[in-house]
Amino acid sequence: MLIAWSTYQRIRIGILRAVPWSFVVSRVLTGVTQIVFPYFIYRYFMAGSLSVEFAQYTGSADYMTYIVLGSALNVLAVSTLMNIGRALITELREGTLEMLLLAPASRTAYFAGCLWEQTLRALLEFGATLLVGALLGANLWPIFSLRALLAITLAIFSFFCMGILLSGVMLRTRDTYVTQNTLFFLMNVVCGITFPLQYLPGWVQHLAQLFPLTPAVALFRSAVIQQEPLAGQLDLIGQILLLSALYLLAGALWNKKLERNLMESIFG
Amino acid sequence: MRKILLVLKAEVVKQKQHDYHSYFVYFSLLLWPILGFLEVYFTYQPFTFTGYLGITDSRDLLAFLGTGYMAYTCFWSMVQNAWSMSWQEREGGTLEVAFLTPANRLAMMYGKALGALIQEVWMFCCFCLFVLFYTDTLRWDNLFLLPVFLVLLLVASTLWGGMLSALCLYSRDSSMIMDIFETPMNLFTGTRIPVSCFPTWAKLLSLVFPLTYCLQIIRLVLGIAEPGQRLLPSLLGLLLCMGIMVAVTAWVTIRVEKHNRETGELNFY
Repeated sequence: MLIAWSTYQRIRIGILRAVPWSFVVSRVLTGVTQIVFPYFIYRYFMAGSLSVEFAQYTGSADYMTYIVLGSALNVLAVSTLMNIGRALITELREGTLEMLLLAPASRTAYFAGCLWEQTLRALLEFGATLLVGALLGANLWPIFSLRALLAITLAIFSFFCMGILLSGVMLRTRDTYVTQNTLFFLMNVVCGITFPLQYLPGWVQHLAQLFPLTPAVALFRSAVIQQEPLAGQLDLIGQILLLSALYLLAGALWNKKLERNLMESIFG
Repeated sequence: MRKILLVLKAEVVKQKQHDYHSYFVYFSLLLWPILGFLEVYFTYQPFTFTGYLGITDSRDLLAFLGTGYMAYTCFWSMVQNAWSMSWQEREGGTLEVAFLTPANRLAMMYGKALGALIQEVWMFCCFCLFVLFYTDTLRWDNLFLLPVFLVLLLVASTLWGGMLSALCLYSRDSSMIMDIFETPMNLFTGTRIPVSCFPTWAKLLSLVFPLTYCLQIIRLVLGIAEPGQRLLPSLLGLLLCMGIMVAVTAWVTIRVEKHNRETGELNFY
């Protein structure tokens, strides 16, 4: 607990003092663009001419709510993956990884601290995106319900698990820029953020099921748009939990192996 | 003049050696724009076409988006490059050295942007081939336009990239400048949605970006435009925009150097 708290404190102070704006502005803007672009098409370019399939695929003709929920959850996914994924390599770049690896503190507590710190920031970005969405006409009141909050919590947990694996990959490749952007670009296309998955070719739809964001966004939408109770979506919940477990396991194993190698290769 | 060219060349070579060290980099240069392009294309899928700007089927839409992305990727790669280079100079400690050299500062800024040259030409070619073969907007009889477009885009995007890279040298927290300029650029310049269908406020906003004029010119020449649109206003707008950008870059570069002398670690001063 103490380790998580001190990790939280350290990251928070570092961010507030060195780069208070960069990432927050970037992610809120990305989320807002992801809403405003479809809004412009919907409102100005295509003048509301939605096709029949859209309502069939989504079970609702409320385009803006559909888009806003997707983009907002995507913002949450991107910031969680980025903050957790970059944790270890940032330590390496700032020269504190050695101390971290030598310290008796548990990795779980360390990542818990990272998660705690970043969730507060991520929820701020999430909220900002939702606010813009509400201003553009999305119907978001059902978000203030237990089932929607549970869906969000479950989503954050699954992004965290994927982030653990990502942190290993980033540390191994010594790269954040190429890895994270490729992943995020891919998620934007395949996870059904700004359009229903059904428009994609079949094999891409299958590929999409490997990302926790796909079931998470489906669950979130069903909780807010259709206002279905979570008990009716056990398959989605199961998929999220299964993916989380797999990513967490893979991440833990990878990081353990990597740690041994790192000790040999980069420290004297 | 020779010295200026030397500085430009040095910056380009420096970046090439710094950035293009693995095949993964080249791969992502093609992969990202394609993924971005696909996202935009599929975002249009839930709609039925209204025939606006003569866009009646997905082929017309691809021609419209293809030209948009052709121009946008040029600007995008310049901007990304300018930003990442300023960042690396700051972290790597070479910013100080750069400020101590007698090299022309403006040439250095434009060199940083031009480092994306190879990347830019590569992506430009990819999108062109796509537009050429798939959508019939470029045909054999108007193929001579391609080099003209390339020069137009190169000049405009280098000036834009130079301005942003000067702005980025001001503070370590300045990557948000990149976002403030880049995201709206994607949205308001007509890369993905025609500017002519915007409300007035968004039209006014689009006038700030040089990419808007470049796209207007390219699409007008290729015949993807509203009837009655003319070339001259766009050309004049682009020239005015470029003039302002050069002035801003020159002014910011002087300010930045002064600022860094006070706050940075210049051992010589």
